[in-house]
Amino acid sequence: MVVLLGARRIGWVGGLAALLIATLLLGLATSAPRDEYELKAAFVLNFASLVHWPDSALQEATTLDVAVMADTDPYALIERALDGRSAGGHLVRSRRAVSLDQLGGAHIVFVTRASGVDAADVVSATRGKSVLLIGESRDFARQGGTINFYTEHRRVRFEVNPEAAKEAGLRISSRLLSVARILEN
Amino acid sequence: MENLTRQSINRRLTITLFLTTVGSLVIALGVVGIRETVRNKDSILSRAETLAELTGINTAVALSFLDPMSAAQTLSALSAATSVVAAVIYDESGEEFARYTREDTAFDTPAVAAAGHDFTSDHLDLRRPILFSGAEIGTILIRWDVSEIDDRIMAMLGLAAILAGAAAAIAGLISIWLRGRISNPLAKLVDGTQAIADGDLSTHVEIDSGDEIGLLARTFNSMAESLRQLVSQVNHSVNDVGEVARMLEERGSGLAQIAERQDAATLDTTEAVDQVGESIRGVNEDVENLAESMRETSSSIAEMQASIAEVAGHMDHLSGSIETTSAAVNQVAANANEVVQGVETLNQATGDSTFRLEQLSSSVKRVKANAQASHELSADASQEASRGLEAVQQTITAMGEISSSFHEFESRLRRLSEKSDSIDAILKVIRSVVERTSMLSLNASIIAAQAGEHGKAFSVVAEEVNNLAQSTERATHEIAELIQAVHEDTAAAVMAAEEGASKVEVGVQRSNVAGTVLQVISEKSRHSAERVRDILDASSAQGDDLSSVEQAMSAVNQIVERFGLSARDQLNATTDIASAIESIRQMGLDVRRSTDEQRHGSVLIMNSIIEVSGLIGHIAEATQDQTKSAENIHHALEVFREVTSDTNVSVEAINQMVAMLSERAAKLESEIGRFRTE
Repeated sequence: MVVLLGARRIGWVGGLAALLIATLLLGLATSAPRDEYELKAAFVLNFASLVHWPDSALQEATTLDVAVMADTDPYALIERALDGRSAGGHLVRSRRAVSLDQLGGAHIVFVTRASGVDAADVVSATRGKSVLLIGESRDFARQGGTINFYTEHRRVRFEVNPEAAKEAGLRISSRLLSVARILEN
Repeated sequence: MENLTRQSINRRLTITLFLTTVGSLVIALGVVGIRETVRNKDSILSRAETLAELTGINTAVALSFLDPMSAAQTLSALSAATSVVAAVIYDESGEEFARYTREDTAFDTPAVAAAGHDFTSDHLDLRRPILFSGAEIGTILIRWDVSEIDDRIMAMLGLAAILAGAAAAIAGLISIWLRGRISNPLAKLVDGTQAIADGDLSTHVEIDSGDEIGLLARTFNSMAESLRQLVSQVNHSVNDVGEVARMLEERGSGLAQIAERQDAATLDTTEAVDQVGESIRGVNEDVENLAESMRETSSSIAEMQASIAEVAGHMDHLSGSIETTSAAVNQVAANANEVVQGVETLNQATGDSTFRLEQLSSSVKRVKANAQASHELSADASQEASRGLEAVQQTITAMGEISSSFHEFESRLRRLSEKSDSIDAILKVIRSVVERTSMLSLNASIIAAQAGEHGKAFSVVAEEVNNLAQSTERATHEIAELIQAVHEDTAAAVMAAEEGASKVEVGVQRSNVAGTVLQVISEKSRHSAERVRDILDASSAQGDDLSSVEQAMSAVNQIVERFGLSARDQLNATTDIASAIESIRQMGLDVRRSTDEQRHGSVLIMNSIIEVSGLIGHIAEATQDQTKSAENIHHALEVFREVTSDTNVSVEAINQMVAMLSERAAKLESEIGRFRTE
């Protein structure tokens, strides 16, 4: 970020430069959300392929229920990337959940940062059920979430909490683990 | 060139061995190499595919989570596969996502392409889609190093070259071994066979081994032995035949000479016979002439006899007339008119008598002339008879010569016949030789057949021998036939000669008879000549007498004329008349006597002439017979000459046959001579 100091001598050039930067930032700002949640939704789809639910929670032909706790706009993106796709041999259905009690019956719960929902709440709400909890806040995984997105070097990465998965009765593929940051307790 | 022939079997075997070994090697290695190459490629391909598959699976998650580092890490595991030159992961859009390269290898990432594989000379590029959750999320490219295949092929070729070298060496060793076992013995056999073909039958091949070549050598030696025996036998037979042919040649030339001489003798004989015939014909002609003149003489004598008879008659008449005249004269005195008439009558009578006397004179002249002629003819006849006698003598001599020629000829023919017998004996010898030669040729053919290939040259010789035997046989057969013909012809000739001889004998006899006859003729001719001379004398005497008669007659005529003239006046001169008449009467008596004598003489002449005619007839007969005999002899000689010329021809033919035989025998001798048995 180029910070222009001094107003006196810059004038034109300064104004133009500022305009350029603003456009760039704007572009970045507007693109970032589009890329990010599309990507993350794609990753969620991937997760669905690389995670194994127990038969009691998910049978072969059953649709995979994905509850998304997000704002409208991001949800639209997520929905577009998820709904109607298939993963791991299951049809994927996404729905928007605004409250914790709407999470019942979901196989995957994706909690966006903007939703403001606390990780611990979600964890306790879904305790004892085989739910893949996906978040994108910093302590999400430490607080009991299964997978947590983070950004590193402008790249979307994720960390996995194997304990949480085990508690949920989920089996996570080693292949997924190989590309994830493993959270160690 | 000979060396090449010797080694060709060897070389062929060597080359075959070498080719077989190397060929099989090459083929085997080639097949194996190609299979190996193909399998290598396939195995490489399948390994690469497997690796690509696995790698794809392993990196799919990394790719799906857009984690190039993780992907690269996974790819780096490919370092364990040393054949992998490089690996590249492309994302969905074909951009390079992650890559791996083998240590120390420069690698430019090629543009993404469809799934599949490409083989180049040194690497294989294999592209596989990367699947995740049933969807294709990218492509993996693996480059495999295939230069190892070339290395393998090179190694194989090197091995093949080494093995080929080893095979060549082995083949060389085997060929050396073969030389001893096969080529050298075969070369020996070839030399032996060539020696036999060149004529050296004493060849013997030394090969001591138990295999087929040893057997061949032993068989060859036994064949050479048989050939030696056969050739020496044939040689003997051919010598015999040659000798016989030479003998026949000599005899044949002898025969030819004899035939020539015969022919010459026959020619001479024919000429002599012809001459005899000619002289006989001459004699015949002369005899004919003699006969002719005899006939003439005979007719003249008959005429003479007739005229003599006439004369005698006239004489009688004259006597009568004279008597009448005498009576009349006696009565003249009595009757003058009657005397005158009587004188007239007398005149007439004397005129008639004169006329008749003239006729008589002329006829006596004729008789004289004829007698002269007869004398001459008799002389001629005598001459002719003596000439005839000469001729007959010559004929007899000639006959004698012919007879002796015939006898000689006969004896020669007998000798010829004998010689034919001896030729018969020779033919028997030849036949036996022929038999033996035939047998030999048969044996030779059998042996030749046994000897097979090698005996081919010899079987030609055997065939030639057989041919010779057969042609000899044919020749002897023909000679026998010819000799038989000669025999027959000779017998016929002998018979004809005998006939001729006997005919000649007859001819000689007849000639003798003719000689005797001619002699008689000669004698008789002499007699007749004498007789004729007597006649002549008598005729001359007669002629004289007649001329004196004529004179007297003319005197009478004169007297009568005088008387007539003076009759009237001299009626009284009767005594003159009476005496004249008396003398006339006397003369008449004389004439009568003469004519009687003449008649007697002419009768004698006639008898002689008849005798001579008879003899001439005999002569004619004899000469005719002789002519016939001469003709027969001529004919017989002709036949004989024909026979002789036929014999000549036969002898020529025999000579030719013998010459041919000699030639053939000589030829065979020279051919056999080629073969040495020591």
